[in-house]
Amino acid sequence: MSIGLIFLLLFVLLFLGVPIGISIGIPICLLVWQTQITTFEFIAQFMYTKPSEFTLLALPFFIVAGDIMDTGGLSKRLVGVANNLIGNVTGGLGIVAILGCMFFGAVSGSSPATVAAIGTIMIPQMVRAGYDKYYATGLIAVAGGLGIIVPPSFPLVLYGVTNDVSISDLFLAGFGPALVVGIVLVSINFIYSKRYGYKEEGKTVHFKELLKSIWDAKWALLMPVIILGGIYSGACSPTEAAVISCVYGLFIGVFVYKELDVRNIVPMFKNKVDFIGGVIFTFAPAGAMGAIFAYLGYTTVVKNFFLGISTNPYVIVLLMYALLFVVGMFVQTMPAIVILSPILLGVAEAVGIDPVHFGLIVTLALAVAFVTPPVALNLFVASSMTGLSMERITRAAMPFIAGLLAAEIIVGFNPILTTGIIDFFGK
Amino acid sequence: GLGSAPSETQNSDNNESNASSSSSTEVSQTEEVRVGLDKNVYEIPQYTQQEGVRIARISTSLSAADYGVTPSGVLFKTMVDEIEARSGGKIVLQIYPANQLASGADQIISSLASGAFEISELSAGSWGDYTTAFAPLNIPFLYKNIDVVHAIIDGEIGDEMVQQVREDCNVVPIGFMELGMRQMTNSSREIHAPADLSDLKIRVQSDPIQIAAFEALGGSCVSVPFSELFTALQQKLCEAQENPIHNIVSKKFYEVQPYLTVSEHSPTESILVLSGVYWETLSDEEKTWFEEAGKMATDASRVACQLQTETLLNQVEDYGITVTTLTPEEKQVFVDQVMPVWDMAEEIMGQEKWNELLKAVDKAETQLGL
Amino acid sequence: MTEQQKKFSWYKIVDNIEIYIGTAIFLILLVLLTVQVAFRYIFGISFSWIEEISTILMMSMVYCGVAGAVRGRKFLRIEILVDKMPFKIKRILLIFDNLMQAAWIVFMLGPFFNVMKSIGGGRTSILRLPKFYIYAVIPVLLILTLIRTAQEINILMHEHETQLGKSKPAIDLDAIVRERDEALAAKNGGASQ
Ligand code: NA
Ligand code: NA
Repeated sequence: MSIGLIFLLLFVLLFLGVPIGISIGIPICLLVWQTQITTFEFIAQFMYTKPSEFTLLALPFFIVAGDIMDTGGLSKRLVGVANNLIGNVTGGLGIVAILGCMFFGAVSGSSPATVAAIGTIMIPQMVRAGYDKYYATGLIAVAGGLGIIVPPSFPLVLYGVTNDVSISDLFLAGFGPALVVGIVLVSINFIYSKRYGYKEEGKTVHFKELLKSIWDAKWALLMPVIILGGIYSGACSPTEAAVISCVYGLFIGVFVYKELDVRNIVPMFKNKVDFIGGVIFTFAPAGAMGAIFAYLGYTTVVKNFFLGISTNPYVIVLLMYALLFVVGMFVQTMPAIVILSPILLGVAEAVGIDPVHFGLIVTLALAVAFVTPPVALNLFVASSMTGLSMERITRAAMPFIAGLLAAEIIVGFNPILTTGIIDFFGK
Repeated sequence: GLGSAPSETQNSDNNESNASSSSSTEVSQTEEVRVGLDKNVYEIPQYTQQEGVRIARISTSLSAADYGVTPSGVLFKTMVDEIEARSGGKIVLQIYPANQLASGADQIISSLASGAFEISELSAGSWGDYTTAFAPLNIPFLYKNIDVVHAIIDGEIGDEMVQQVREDCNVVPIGFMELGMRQMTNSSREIHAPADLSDLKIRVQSDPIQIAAFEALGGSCVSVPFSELFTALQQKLCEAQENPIHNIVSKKFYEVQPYLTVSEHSPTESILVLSGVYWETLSDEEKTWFEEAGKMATDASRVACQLQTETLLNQVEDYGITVTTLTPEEKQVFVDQVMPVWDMAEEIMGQEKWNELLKAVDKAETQLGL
Repeated sequence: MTEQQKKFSWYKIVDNIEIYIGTAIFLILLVLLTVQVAFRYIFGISFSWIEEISTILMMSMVYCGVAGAVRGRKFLRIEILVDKMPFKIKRILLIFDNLMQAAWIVFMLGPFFNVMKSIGGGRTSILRLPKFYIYAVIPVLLILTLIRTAQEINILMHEHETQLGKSKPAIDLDAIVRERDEALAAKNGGASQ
C-alpha cells in the first residue's frame, strides 16, 4: 500500500465522520500489517503512554474553568469594566466586545467558549445601541479567536505536549500576538463604526461608575493575575495553574458573587468527562502515527517537499499559513495540531524557525480556521446563539477575517513579538 | 530576522540521557564547543531495504545533529561503523533519533519485547521500575570520580548488572553510554557545604534514592519535566538543579543559574541494550560483533566525554558564571550527610550486593591511588 | 423522590457508571493538585507521589470519558458530511462510524494484552504500584466502550428524525431590533410634533 492510499483512506474515514482517533488508527494498523515495519504492540503502547502525560492534565481543568467563570458571574463583571472604560467612544461597544474577549481569553483556553460567553452579553447590547446585528455577531465570532491566542490556551497546551515544547514559554509568547490581533480588530472596528455612525448616544463615562465597576469586578480581574502570575512567579506549573483557576473561580462564584449554586458544581465537572475522553483519546493513535511515519521516512518526504520549494523562512511561513488556511477550512483545532504540527515543525526548524514561534504561527492559523467556512466552530456557535445564517455572519465578518490574516503575517514575520518576549523576561 | 532565532527545546527527552546538541566545530581543547546551536549539520546515514542486508533499528533520544559529535553521538557512530565493517555490510544499524519512536522505560521495554525495534538506550536512573540492576549507578556521592565508576562498570559488579537486567527485562546490554558526572547549578550562591543548599528548591530526577539524598542534604526537591526545566529555573519555580555539564550548556541553564558547583556527585550512564528476542536470532559470531562493537563504542564515548567535559567547564566560566569545585574535605561533608540514604540503597540492593559494591569501590579507589 | 424514581436512578447509575467514576476521579484530582500547590506554597513541601498518582488517575479518567463519549457523541470527528445528509443516510453513516470504532478497539485488545504481559513485572517508581493492574484499566474500560457502542448502535437504529430537531436560539435578536426601531421611531415622531 502506498503513502497515497494510506492518506486517501485517512481522509475518507475522516470525511465519513469516523472519530479522528479511529480514522488515524485504522490506516496505521493497515500500514503496519502491510509493511511489517513495526508491531501492533508498538501502537498499543501509545494507548497508555499518551493519555498519561502530566502536562496534558491542564486541559480538563482549563475546560471547566471557562464554565465556572460564566456561571459564577465573573465574565459579566469583566465586560462591565470594559464597558465603563471605553463604551462611549465611536465604536465603543465594539471595542468593549474585543476587550471582553481578551479578558475572558486570559482565563479560558477555548475560542468557541469565548464567543458564547462574550457574545451572550455583548451582542444584544450592541444591537440595542444601533449596531447591525450581522456586524455585531461577526465581530464577536472573530474576536473569539483571542480566546486561544491570549494565554492560557488549549491549542498551545496541545502543541506543547505534542512537540515537547515548554508550555510556559508558549503562554508567555502568546501576549505579543494577542496584542497585535487586538489592535488590528479595534482599528477595523473603528473604521466601520465611523462610517456607519456606531456610537452609543448620550452616554458619558462617569469616573465614579468606572471605579465602582472595577471594584465590583476586582475578584474576576484577579483571576488572570493568579493564573498567569502563578505560572510566571514559579508558584505552580501550567497544570497546577489550571487547577487553581478552577478552585479560585468556584470560591468567588459561590462565596463572593454568590451566583454559583453549590449543587451545580459537581454537574459542571460531570458534563465534561465524556468530552475530555473524546478529545484526549485522539492523542494515542496520533502519537503512534507520528512514530510510524518516522519509521517509514514519510516525515522526511514532507520536509524535503517543502524545502524543495524554498528554504527562505519567510516563504516557508507563508506556505505554512496557506496550507493551514486550506486545512483549517475543513478541520478543527485538534487534528491540525496532533497530525500536522510535528511534521510541519520539522520543516520550520530546518529553516531556523523557533519551535515556540512556530507554535504561535499554528495557533494564529487556527484562530482563522475557527471562522472560515465550511467547518467554522465560532460561526456555528454565533449562528446557533443568534439564529442568524452562517452565510450572512461570514459576510459581515469578512473585514475582520482579513484583519486576522494581516495579523498572522505581522506576527509570523516578527519573532520579536513571540520569542522576543521570552528573551526580554529571560535577561 | 526569522531565520536567526536559535532553536531550543525540540529535543524530546524524557530520560535526559542525550540533551546535548551538536557542536559545529571539531572538538579540541582550545576551541569553543558550541552545543545547542546548528541543527542537522551531520546526517545520520539512511539505509533502504536491500537484498541480503539486515537492518537493526535503534531508538534513541540522540539529537540528529549530535551524530558523531557529542559523547552519545560518538557512541552511536562507532556502533554503526563497527557493525557495518565487521559484518561486511550484511548488518546495518538504522538510528531513529530524538525519541521519535519511543521514550521512557515502559515504551522502550515493551517495544523491545514485541520486536518493534531491536536496539535502544535507557539511562541508569530510568530502570528502577523494572530492575534494581543499575541501582549502584544511582547512588549520590558514592564515587570519588569517573574513573571509579569505570572500574565498577568494567569489573565484576558491571557483569552482575548485565546478568541481572537480562533476567529481569529480557534485554542484552552491550554498552554504557557516558554522559559525564553530574554537577549542581543554582541561582544564588557558591556551594561549599550542605548548609548552602538548605533553603534552595532543587530539581532532581524522579528517583527515590536521589530525592532522598538531596532531602538529606537539606534541599527541598521539586519535580519538573526536563523540557520545562529551563523555564522553571528562569521563573524560580526551582532555584537549583543537577545535570552533567553537557546538558547545562546545551540547555543554556548557565544563562539563568550563575553558580556552578563541580560536585561530581553521581555518574550519568545510559545503557545500550539489544532486545533479548533479537539477540536469540543472532549467530554466535554476530553476537561477538555486537559485543566487541559495544565495547569500542563505550570506550569512544568515554574519551569524547572526558575531553569535552574539561572544555565545557572552562567555557561556562568564560560565559561569566562562577565555577567552584568541591575540595575533597568539602565533599566528605556531603558524603557523611547522605550516609543515611545509603541504607535505603542497601535495602533496595540487598545487604550482600551492597557490601560487595562498597568493597569494589574501596578496591578501585586504592588502585587509582585515591 | 418517589420509590419508582429511586429505582430508576439506580439503573441510571449503572448505565452511566463510567461518567460517575470519571467525575469522582476528576474531583479527586482537583483536590490532590490543590493540596500539592498549597503545601508547596505554604510549607515548601512537595509530594512526588501526587504527580505519580495524578497521571494514573488522569489516564483512568480519560478512558472513562472514552466509554462515556460513545453515547454522548463527544468524539472529535469531522461532521461536515454527516450534518449535510438527509436523516436516513445520516443514520447509516453514524452506525458505520460506530462499527469502525468497535472494529479497531477489538483489534487492538490483543496487542494491548501483549503489552501488559511485557511490562507486567514493573512497578511505579514512587508508590511501587504494580503496572500490570494500572495498564489493565484500559482494556477493562475499552470493553465497556464496546458495550456502549452496541447500545449506541441500538439507539441509532430506533432514533426518530424529530429527535434531531433544531434548538431555539438563545438570543432573540429580531425582538431586540424591533424594540430598538420602535423606540427610535417614537423618539423621532415625538421630535417632529
Ligand atoms: Na486563552
Ligand atoms: Na474553518
